[in-house]
Amino acid sequence: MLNTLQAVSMEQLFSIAGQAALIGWIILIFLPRRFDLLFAVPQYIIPFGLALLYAGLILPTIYTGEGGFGSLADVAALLSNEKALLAGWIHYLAFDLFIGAWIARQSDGLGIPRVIQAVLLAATFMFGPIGLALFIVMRIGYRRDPSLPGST
Amino acid sequence: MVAKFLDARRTHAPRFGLDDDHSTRALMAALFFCIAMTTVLWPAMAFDTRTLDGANVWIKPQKFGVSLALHFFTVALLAQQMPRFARTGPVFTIPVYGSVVALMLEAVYVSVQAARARRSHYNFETQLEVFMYQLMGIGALLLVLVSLALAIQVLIHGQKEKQGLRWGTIIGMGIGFFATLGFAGYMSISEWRLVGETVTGEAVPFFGWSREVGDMRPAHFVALHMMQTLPLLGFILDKAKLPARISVPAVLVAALLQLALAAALFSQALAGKPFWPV
Repeated sequence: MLNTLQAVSMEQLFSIAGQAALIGWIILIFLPRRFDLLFAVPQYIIPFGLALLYAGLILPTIYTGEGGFGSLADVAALLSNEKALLAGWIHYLAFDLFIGAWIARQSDGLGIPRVIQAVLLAATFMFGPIGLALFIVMRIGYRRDPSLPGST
Repeated sequence: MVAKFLDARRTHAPRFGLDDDHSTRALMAALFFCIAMTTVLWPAMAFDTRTLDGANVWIKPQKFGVSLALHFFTVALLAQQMPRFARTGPVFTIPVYGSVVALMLEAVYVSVQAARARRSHYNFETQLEVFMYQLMGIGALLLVLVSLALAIQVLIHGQKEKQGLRWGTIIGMGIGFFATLGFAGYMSISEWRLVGETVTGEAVPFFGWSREVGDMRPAHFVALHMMQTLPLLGFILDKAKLPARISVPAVLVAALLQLALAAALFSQALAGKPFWPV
């Protein structure tokens, strides 16, 4: 099992991780929200799988190669290692998807129509923080209403 | 069914104290989206040095965000004049959702084209861009169709106590819709929004309207914003406690004046003259 994992190429892992994230985004953007198990796929299951893959890539690499986090040049040196670069990419995929799921849940609580949510989520998928910033600004427009069914 | 399920999860309502029905909610969400878009694109405008037709590439999505924020807020506010059943019935709900879908389509496309430093309107360069320009025409129609639906619903179901606001809404939204259709329609069949060749590119700040040659956008702007000015005038006249026999004709006269101003600006533009020469 371990030998097989070590033999998988970085390109293959890149493509598997990308496809997993894409499935998560399709569920978030297009599928209904009423099934908790279905929603758990983009919210927890796929980010968890990506997190494990990240651990497998970053932990064997981080203290062996060059670079660090002290300066932009250090980060560039760190990411010049293929494994660290892929780990960094998977970090994006995992966190963006988790945040996307959080935005989706929050937006349901605010009553934002799905078509607007689709744009917020697509923005998060493509440009992570931009989607988050869009949501944060929109969030200011709402106030808690204890009489609503979701509040109980 | 889906709406009911979404409602079951709801914990928050839009601010500003309007009614919490699905139409008002969709309009308010569209308003908040426009504000969010304008906020998030602002740093891009501050950092980006690229220009398109003489203006920062991001100015177009910014103007788009500001003017549609105004549009959606106006429609949401004025829709409160009708009872909830009229606001949540299909005659109003369908145009509301249509306008929200159109907003999303246009917001994304206008922003993407800005990032690529390419025109969104008047772009005949690639097949896709020609197609998108046509699609944006349909989108623009959907964005303002909600105004016509609002005018009709207020005419049929609107409250009768505030006559100034009532007729400001009906006339502003009704005539504003058709006037916009006319001016924007003419612009959409034109090759370009300017009439004449520019040399210096001198323009009105932020708006970008030419101060050298004829520009059709000021007329479009004046006609379009009848949707805000007339209801606002009616509202003010009601506040001043003027009776309907004064406020309603006043709104009508204001509508004719504004329409005449738009027509004058338009004929001036077609003659190739700027409305505010350098």
